[in-house]
Amino acid sequence: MVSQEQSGNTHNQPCEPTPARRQRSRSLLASLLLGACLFLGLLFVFEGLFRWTDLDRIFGWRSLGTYHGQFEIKWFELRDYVRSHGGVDVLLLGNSMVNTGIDPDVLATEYEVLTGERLRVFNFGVEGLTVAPNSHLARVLAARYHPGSIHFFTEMRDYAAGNGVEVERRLLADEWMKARLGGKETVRTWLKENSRVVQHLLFFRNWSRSDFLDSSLMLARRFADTTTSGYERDANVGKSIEIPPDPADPDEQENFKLFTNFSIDPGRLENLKSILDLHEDGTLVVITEMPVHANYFTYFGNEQAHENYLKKLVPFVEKNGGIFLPPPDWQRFPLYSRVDHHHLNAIGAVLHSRMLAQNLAVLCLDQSTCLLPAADGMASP
Amino acid sequence: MNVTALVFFVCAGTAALVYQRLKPRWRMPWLLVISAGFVVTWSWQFVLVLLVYSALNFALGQLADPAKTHARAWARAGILVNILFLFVFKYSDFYLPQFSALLSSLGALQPGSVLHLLLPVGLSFLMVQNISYLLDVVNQRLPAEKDFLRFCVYIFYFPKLLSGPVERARAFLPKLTTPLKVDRSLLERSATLIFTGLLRKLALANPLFNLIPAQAFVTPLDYPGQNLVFWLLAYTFALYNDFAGYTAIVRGVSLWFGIELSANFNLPYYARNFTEFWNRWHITLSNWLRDYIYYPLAWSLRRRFHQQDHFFNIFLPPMVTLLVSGLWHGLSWSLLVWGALHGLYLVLERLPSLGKAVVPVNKRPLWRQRLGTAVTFLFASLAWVPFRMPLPAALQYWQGLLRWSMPDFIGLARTLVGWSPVSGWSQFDLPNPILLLVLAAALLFDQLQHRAGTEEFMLNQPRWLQVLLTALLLLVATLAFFSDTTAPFVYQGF
Repeated sequence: MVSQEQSGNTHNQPCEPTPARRQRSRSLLASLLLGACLFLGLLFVFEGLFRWTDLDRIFGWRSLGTYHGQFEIKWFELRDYVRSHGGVDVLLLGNSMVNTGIDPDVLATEYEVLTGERLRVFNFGVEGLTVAPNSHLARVLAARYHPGSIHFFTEMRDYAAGNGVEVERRLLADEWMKARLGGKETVRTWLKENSRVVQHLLFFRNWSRSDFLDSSLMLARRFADTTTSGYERDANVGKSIEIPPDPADPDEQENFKLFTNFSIDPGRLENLKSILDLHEDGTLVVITEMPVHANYFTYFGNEQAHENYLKKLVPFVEKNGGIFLPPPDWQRFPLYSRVDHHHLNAIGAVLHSRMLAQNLAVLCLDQSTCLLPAADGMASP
Repeated sequence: MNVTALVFFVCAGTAALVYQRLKPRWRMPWLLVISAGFVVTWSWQFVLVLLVYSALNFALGQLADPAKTHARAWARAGILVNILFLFVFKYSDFYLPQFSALLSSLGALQPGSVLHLLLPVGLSFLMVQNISYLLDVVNQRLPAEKDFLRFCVYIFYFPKLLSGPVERARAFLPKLTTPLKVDRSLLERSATLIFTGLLRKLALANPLFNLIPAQAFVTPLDYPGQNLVFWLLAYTFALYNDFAGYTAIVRGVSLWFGIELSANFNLPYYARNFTEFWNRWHITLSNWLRDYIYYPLAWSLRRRFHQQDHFFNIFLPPMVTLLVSGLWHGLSWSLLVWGALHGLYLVLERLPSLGKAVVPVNKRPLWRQRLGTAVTFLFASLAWVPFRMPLPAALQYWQGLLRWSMPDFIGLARTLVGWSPVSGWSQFDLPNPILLLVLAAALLFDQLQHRAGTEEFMLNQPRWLQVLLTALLLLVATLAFFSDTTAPFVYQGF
């Protein structure tokens, strides 16, 4: 708090516009222009490279700007899949249980062996998505890729009001998703949807957030772990699966609170109907459950609760033009093939994919209800 | 309207073009209209509050004219009114709950409801400007302004409204009457300032703020000391680049109207002692505090205690000045501690010079200057801790700075060679490499300015660097356009 002279400070001399300085100043304005041109030029070069070479897939860090990184991995993988295979015949939809529980390649191979038909199958299982967001997603995917069959894997939790609402809210509130669902298309949403270079930039949009490194490394690993047909391998082996979940366990209390007095929410049934209605466009809609361990139903009371739920669900599916395919017997899955009460690991996924293919083949050969291939040339990657 | 938004530059640019085309007598009203329009983007009620505030100070200025009777009393009353005005709006959280409870008990308000007051933008800055105006008038350094319109423009002028610079009326008002000629040279200076400011704000300050986990300032002891050190460094540079960036942008925009605003920063972390630090940090406020608190207090004490090295003469002026500075930033114990720390630094700095001649800092050996810079930076950084967080958390943060833990180099090595799956970075207890990169960029940026010796240092850089930095700025701005997070200017909160 003394004078500047005392401290020897000589700050901020006004800039006199000398001729030399003026010359340099002119070059700054030119530099600003050149910098802008360089930036735009690079954007165009990379847009071309991402669009017309394999760099898009090789440099796989892409985003749509939604909060759900794993959903985005599936979205881009499906786009790449359709681009390389010319389309997709069967879309497997559901939550994380589907994501790690079915290997589409194993399913397609087994199905081909049994029926002689080779189908292009993609696993679009996304963590945390209940029937509510899946009903919107199914419509978007069906409109875009025109698969011949949609196989939706449902479970009791899908129909508990209040379950998964936050995931649904955040995903459906996203501007890009809104535009895909028929909402307003803005410059931002258009760029997110159509520009490859913007999609790559979007991955780095939160580069300066403290959790960016953690989340992006995790996503990069998950991207690497996800096959081109959308299956994410889980190598973990669960412990204490034979022990039912304990209501006194603080980690489990939330689940018990949510599912103990389970009843089917009519709104969620409407969501299921929305998926089933896709059959009106000629799409075969198959509804199945995952082969969860019996202890899983402890959350809902007991296995009787599950039986009661099926008594309502199966007629609903059949009444609305869908096919309900019972899951493989859960007892055929050894404990080491599970991650927890409801998720399968890599061993379980292979087992399940084969059994599922067998069930589908039986459906095809015995009841003449075969999975339908996509109409050629309909998909728009 | 945020001053980094594209819409701000478009609106300000259009306003400046119209301003240049107008006849001189219409320019002042136009400045008031566009400034009021700028305020409306925050809230239309603010315009009314600021109009009342301007009218009040204009009238007080007339009454404080030394030619009139009781001028000094009116000036004192004016200062009180300004402080009261700030108190009513800024510190409403302290009294409104009680006031609301009183109204509720009288049945005038629904039970449980609490009244809220919107804090008009830039009120703290306006208060100090108005106090200096009244003091300058009463001390005959400036005649009382006779033109209400001109006075309103002084208050409302949009580039300086949100967070300064704190302009004195005697320096600012003449600039309104005789603005600089807006020629190519001035526009180039403007472009340089805006460019530098945007780089500071978007490429340095925002990332540095965002790279610090929010919980680090709430429960600092949950984190290893080495990370706390880097986060404190990040905050230190973020705060500086945020405010310096803001000032550079608004100074650049103001030049479009031919009005040069005062500089506010001059590489404060290059200061070799705290006296110099305060001549380089928030210069316009520091100068205000020096001229209206430090000097008057020091002179008054000197008259009372004749000895130059009397305890009160050494201790009170810096301490009181910096405590007032802390209070100006906000009514909290932590900001008082921040002010007290800086006051203490200044007192301690003066102790060795008692009874002997002062060697100006720039005449000292180079090693002492460098050491002085390092020590000043260290203690200024430590003082930002209570500036940023409440006192209990600040105490924990200081404590945590010494609690280092061994980073998990083995885990990192295992991950790098592929033996462990990648599952994040924070598990290794190592500083975030992105943060280190941005910190290095911040240091480099200041070094460029230091070597050039001017805030308009971008003019002197080689073309390739100017081009590269432009492309980088556009990249950062594009990412910010799509980002999920925003970082408002810190000093807008004051």
